[in-house]
Amino acid sequence: MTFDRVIVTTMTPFWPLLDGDEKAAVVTEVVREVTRSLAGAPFHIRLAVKSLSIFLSLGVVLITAGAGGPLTRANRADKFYRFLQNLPGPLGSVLRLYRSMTLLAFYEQTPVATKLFSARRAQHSRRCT
Amino acid sequence: MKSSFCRTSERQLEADAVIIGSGAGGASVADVLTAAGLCVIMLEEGKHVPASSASPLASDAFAAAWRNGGLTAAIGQPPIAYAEGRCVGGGTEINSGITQRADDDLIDQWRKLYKIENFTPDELAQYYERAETAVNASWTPGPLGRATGILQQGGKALGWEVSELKRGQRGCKGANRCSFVCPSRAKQSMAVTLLPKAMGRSMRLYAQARVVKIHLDKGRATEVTAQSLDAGGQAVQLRVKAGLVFVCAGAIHTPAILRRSGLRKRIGNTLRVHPTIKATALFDDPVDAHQSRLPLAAVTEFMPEQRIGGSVFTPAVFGLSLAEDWANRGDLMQHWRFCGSYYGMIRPRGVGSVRSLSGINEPLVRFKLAPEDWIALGQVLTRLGQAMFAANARKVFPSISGHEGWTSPDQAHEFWHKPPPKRRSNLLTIHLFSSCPPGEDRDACAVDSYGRVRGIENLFVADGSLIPEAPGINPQMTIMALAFRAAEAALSHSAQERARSAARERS
Repeated sequence: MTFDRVIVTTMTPFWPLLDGDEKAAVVTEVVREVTRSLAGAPFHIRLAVKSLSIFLSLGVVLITAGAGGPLTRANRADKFYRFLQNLPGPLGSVLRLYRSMTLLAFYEQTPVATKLFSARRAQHSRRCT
Repeated sequence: MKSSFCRTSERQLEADAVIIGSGAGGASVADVLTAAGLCVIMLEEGKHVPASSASPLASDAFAAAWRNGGLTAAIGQPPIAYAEGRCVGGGTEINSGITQRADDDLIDQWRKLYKIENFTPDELAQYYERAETAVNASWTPGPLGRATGILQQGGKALGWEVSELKRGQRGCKGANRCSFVCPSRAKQSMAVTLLPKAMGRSMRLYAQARVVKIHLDKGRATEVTAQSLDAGGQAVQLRVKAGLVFVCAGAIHTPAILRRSGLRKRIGNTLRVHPTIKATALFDDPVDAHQSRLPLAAVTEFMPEQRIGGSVFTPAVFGLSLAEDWANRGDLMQHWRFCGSYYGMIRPRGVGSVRSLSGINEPLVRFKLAPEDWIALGQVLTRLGQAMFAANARKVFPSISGHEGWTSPDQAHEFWHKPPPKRRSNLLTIHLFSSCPPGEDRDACAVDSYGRVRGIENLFVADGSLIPEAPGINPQMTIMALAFRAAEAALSHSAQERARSAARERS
């Protein structure tokens, strides 16, 4: 769960924008969802995720240490992920899995979905005027 | 009805027949056997997910009705993500209910290749009709929406055949939640059609009962053991004795169960799938795919070898699809209502395998694409790109990590003469079959022409495993047709006849 949190936090999208408290609550819920999803994965996937998430989260902590704000932390983590994704082996698949689960859970959160649909209405009305 | 699906704490059970799996195959077998007056027990690994509790959230639906929450993949280069239903009703609860028959030429080809008895398009027609009637195969009422219109517009502009797809539905409300368990019971899945019918004829269905093994003795299946839970949530072992045993657990788990039970010859060696590659198309005008039904037309010009169609779309599922290349495509999320998600599917020449692993619930699934499959994937991706631009897409992003996307139909020809990159292509499938092909060619076929496992008098396969090769269409109708046929054959051949055949096969 702790390792999941470190990874999921850096993969959570910045858009749509959420205020501080809202964002914290959403991230907590997303982490819970991701952990639940991974618990239901087949044994060989769970094994790969469990073992590599330790390495990934430690890497993220080290790489983002001293970064000013969440945006800088996310950018540094993204660069790290992009580097790992080009390496052979299961790391890329594990990262992709975390990203998929994070995005699915994030965009299903009520505050996020509400903002997506309200952004939709704003976009629509701008186009109509 | 609801109470009929409840699990039980019974341990010793007896019946005329036991059916493992409640999807399209198992439910069709149940229909035949219960109509003949047999006492039937059905074992289903998943839960019952009633329409009233179907969640609109993909993550909840995946957890409730999809095997391993949808996190399943065949190992290979690249791995192919696959989806299976694991709930009462099986895959019919999470598919789009599209009803198609296998191509006549393919059926003829399979009959000759595998030496399958009484397997002509004419002979199968009665079973297809029964399947189509069971699910009310029909045109979906009401407007189909822009997501369908894009496929129709693109295909027609290129002079290709585009077909509207019939579905097993009755009064579809267009909730666009076919993959999440239909909330209105309009999709005519097995939990809505054949299972209640069979239970009305006294079939007993045990949900959350995972079959561990089929016990064999002297060429007969004598008992099926399953792990279940009692009313207090404690693990309990079910032991079912039955005269007939039907394995209908799907193309992955049927061979896994048979192999766990000591039956390995030719079983699980010939898995086929429909490798599918997606593309995201960005348009100038809103598509609002989440508001319309999933695309109910397909480019059928190149069937059965290739098909182009569309996928279920919600903002969250769209977000998930962008994970393949979030760094480059994450911005598309801000334009989600201007995007559509479409796919190209091929009938492969490659083959996969299923192996059970000692002490681990999930089998090991592998699939290796043949070189010609990569050529076909490049072609179907090109055609998909062309269709999207012909429907006025502004940009098309093939499902290849790191790809910048195409901005013109000319660019979409990129993979016409060279295959897509193996490591960066993202493939998936929701169609699995052929792991126990039927026929009298003993070197190639795991089961006889009617699904009976070789050397075993009373053990039958009746699900997607029986489709001899990839059919290039949605397989539900073919699964049901072959299951009806297998169940009828089991009833029409006497036990003595079957015992003689099994003894010959063992000698």
